[in-house]
Amino acid sequence: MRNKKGIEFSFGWLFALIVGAAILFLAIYAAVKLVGTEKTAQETEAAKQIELILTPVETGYEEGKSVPAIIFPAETRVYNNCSTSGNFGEQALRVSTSSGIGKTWEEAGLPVTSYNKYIFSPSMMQGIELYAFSKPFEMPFKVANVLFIWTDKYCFVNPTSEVEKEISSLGLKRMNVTDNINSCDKTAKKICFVSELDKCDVFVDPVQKLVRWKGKQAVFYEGSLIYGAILSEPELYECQVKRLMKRESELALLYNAKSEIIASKSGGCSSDLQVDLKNLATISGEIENSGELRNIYFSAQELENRHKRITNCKLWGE
Amino acid sequence: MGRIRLIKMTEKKGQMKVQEMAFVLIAIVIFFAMVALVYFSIRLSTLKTDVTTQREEAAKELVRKLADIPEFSWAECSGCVDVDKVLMLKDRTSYKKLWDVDYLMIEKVYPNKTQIECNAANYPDCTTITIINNTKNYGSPTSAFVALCGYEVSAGSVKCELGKIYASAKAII
Repeated sequence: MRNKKGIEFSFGWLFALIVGAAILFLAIYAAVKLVGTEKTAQETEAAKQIELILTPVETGYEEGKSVPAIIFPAETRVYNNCSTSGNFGEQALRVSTSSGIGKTWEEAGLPVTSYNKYIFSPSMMQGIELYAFSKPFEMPFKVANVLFIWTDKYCFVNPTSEVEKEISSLGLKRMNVTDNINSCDKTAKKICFVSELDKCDVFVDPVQKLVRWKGKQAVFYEGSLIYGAILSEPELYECQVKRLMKRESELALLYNAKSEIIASKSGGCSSDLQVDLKNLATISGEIENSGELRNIYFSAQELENRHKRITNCKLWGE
Repeated sequence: MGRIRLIKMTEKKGQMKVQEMAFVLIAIVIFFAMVALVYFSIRLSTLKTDVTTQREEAAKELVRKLADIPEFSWAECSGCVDVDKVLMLKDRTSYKKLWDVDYLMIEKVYPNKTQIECNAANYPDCTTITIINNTKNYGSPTSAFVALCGYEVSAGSVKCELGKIYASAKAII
């Protein structure tokens, strides 16, 4: 008889091995899931913090307001999304932090939505420092504070005197002004104002009030929206413009209601504006794209001229 | 006979061991379940506190900036609220979701009067304008003093009174 050598496994050993492996697997699975959930919670909290930090940046009676850079503890990605659904549309911010293990950039945290903020920025920003400034958007009355945020370098080539003055007076970081495109930093986005060169990433035509991203369709701006058109991709810009116009429409109706109550008690004061207010509410509420901004601007100007003629019971400030 | 008894005893010992292991397994599962339960209850309460704090901060920021928001601002002075506009805002349902709060109210605090909610019929002889009131249990709202301005039609001039804004953060359901 041959001696068959082998390892003898008692039932106890086999049982312990199987159960041990199952417990280990469950523990590792739970730990990975837990880390993921914690990361999502932290990133969502960070997005909310950004939103909170940006609230005091909004202007009151100022022409513009900038804040010191928002500094993250590590390389961070901030995603800016916009939707036009609902009465005022939605603004959503998401944050993703670099993990350093495996895939560096995993899925971002949950979106933090707000209905009363209008953030113009690239749809994805990456960096340790985030820069922000705000300006009021008026047409003809103040519609909202618009926020501009960025992380990349920008080089403004031959900008208008107004833009140049604003960049220097607000002390906007990572935004340089030059009259020669070749002196721009290689990593900077080149914003050209006078001529549309191949090297330009974005072309701005201040006469036609038009901004064109390289290889994309042109968008149109009015007032402070010039910065929005430069910083945001056309899709995001168009969405935010629609949201702003929804707010404009609601505000026009609110001023109309205010005019009605004042007029009823004062024998008609400010009632001349009601037709124009209703018209402004209709056209701004039905906007399809930024190309219609010009038309809304002219209606707003007409309304403003009428409003200026009122001596007392003015509906908004000048 | 002796051999059969020995086999039966070994079988009983084996059964005992399997039972022991099963008990240990159940104990381990119960232990981990309890640890997980304690961890999740602590984490959940921390998360709830964080969210409440952030929402309260947002409500405070809103109160601070409210007088500068176009729907509230009075044209001729910074930090003044346009009561005429706010009264109109009250009836507009589209605005109920614009600000992330459960409660938003404006109150005239001086000159002292009996508290009466404003509407188009009794305005301006009233004291409070409740713009948002989504819940009865809004806790203690954040408040700030403001100047409430509006047209005094009888006098044909602007009249500003001392008022207060109250806002309460959205509750966690």
